[in-house]
Amino acid sequence: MLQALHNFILSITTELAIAQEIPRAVIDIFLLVPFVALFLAFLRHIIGVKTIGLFFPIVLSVIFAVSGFTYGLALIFFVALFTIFGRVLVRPFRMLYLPRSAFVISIVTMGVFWTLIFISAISEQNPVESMSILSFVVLLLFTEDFLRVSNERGAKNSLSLMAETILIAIFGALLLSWQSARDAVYSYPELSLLVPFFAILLNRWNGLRLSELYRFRLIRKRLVVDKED
Amino acid sequence: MSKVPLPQIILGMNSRNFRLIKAVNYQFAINRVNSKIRFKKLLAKNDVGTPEIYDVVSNFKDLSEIPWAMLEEKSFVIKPDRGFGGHGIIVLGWNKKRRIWMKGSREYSRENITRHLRDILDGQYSKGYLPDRAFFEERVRPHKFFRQLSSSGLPDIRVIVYNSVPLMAMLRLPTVESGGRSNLHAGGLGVGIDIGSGITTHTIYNGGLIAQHPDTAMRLADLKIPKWNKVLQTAIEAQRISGLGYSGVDIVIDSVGRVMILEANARPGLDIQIANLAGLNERVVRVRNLKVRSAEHGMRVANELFSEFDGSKVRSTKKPILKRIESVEIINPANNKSIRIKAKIDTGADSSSIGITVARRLGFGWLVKEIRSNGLFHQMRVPQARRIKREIEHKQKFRKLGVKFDVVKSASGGTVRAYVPVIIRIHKKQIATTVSIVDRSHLAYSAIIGAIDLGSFYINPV
Repeated sequence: MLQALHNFILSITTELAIAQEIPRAVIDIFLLVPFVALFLAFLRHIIGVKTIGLFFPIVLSVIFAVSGFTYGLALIFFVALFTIFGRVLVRPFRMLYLPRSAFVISIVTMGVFWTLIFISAISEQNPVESMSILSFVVLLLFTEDFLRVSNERGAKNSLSLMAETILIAIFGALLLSWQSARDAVYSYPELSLLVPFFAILLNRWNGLRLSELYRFRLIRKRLVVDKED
Repeated sequence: MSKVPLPQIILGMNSRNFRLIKAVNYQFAINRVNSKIRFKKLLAKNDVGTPEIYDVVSNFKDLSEIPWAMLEEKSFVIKPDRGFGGHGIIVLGWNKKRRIWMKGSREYSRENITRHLRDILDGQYSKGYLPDRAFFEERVRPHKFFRQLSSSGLPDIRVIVYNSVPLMAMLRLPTVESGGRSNLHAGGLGVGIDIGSGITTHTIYNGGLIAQHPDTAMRLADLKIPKWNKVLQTAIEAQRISGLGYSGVDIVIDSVGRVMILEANARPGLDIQIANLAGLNERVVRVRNLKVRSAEHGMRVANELFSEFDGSKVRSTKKPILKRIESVEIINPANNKSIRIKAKIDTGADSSSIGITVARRLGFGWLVKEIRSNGLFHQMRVPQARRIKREIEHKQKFRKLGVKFDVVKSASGGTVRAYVPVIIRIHKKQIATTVSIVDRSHLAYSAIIGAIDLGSFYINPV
């Protein structure tokens, strides 16, 4: 019975994908992304790690896994750099929000574009070819997220949030490129179907996050003292 | 260390989101409070105090129809309807002489105002950058109690209300760092308040505990919040009107003593627990199944269950509350002479001191002469002060009567002070202590009572 189910799921996912000549790497990533999401949800819900949203680190993981850490990190760095540069540049004009966003986005886009051209010129390699232009567009989307967070939490706080997000995304990318995990979901695609059940289990945890034990340490100290009195 | 079942006491993110917000804060109620304008109108309709709305700007068409004639000569605050964390709020005061609004010390013209309103309408200060509305709100001048505590901004009181019971409260004070905002994330202070008595307890600043205001060095514990019962009652009424099961209500008290609601939050923060060194989860569990009939009922429940001051937990004795100026009796135990005077209660001073006249009338006239002849009332350099202190402190006539000397350093040098043993009687409490004799002839009060003698009192600094 289970064997039959396994064969069925295998036939409509992996086997069908191979028949359609979808590359192995793409299949692996599709099947592993649910686990990355679960892993991130675990880190946030149980451990209490903070990230900018949940989608941003997942997308970042995929970019890292597909285009490599060097390219991914460099891209983030330049997007962030030109975002800050654009904000500084736009300040004296005292513009309204929407035109100002258009201003900043054009600075970011042109800045990253020229940087890439410049790099390919001096290194005589073509980084634009090796990556999909899509990852840049996706990062651009999250520029707004980053701006929103820096607006809400202040620059210092949002930089540390960004650093944490990148760190978590690196872990996510390591999971995505872990050969054993890739083999497992490739041969047993039904594993990815189990993730929603784990998510339901995760939701049942109502207790304190690990980080909250530290956050509320002063209260704990006081409670201990009271008990000894 | 004994084991404490922490998760049952402290409310964490997960449990707040799942067991409270998801369970008892329905969408209709969240919508009600997320729009400040809507909630304020609802409050006003129910006769609950809230700062008046002068005008609402809903769209770009409204920008050309701002009632400037009505707004002129008024001081007001411009707020985004769905702002958060104090963003996008500007406070403008009307300057009569220059006939223009001032933002701090800078002039702020109609053009500046319109530009800011445009930013708000464009959604710059709303969650997710969604288009927003703006409104002009009456500028609240804080009650003098709050004005003393912080140099700028509008302090408010956050009360967590659940099932019509106020669970926990915190005074939020702006700091220089927070730029006038009272939000903890921005660097504001959170001062825990005992729910039964309205007396302040611990202060949280950037996640840790402190004792004094970082800007004014004022001691923040043991202060009595004015109009405390009215504050609690208003908070409960606001929660009941909002329809939220669990809410954080922000309250201000203005200069004429009106208790007013600023807003209610459907997702109040958790740091209030640190400022009170107590957990919310435990309190939620204790009132969850109660049938609370009215605001008064809710207040009684909170007082019975959560007040630390008549429970057995920390401080069991009720301390008398002192005002800034108190009538005190000072007694010289050597000759039983006593004098009743008005003294300034000053937690900023370490120890108490009395003026020359008071000292003479208590029979310390001889000592005043000695102090004069040794030139001790004058400022001198610190090493010189130390030398004089060493010379005179061993003399028999001083030691016999328990007179002690000490060097007090200040910005301009040092003085040698003489300390005499006395008994201070305040509110039927007797404190055996030593006081210094100081030339206070140029000061308004002939004695001050300092921190060391105030341990058994609460201070109301107003």
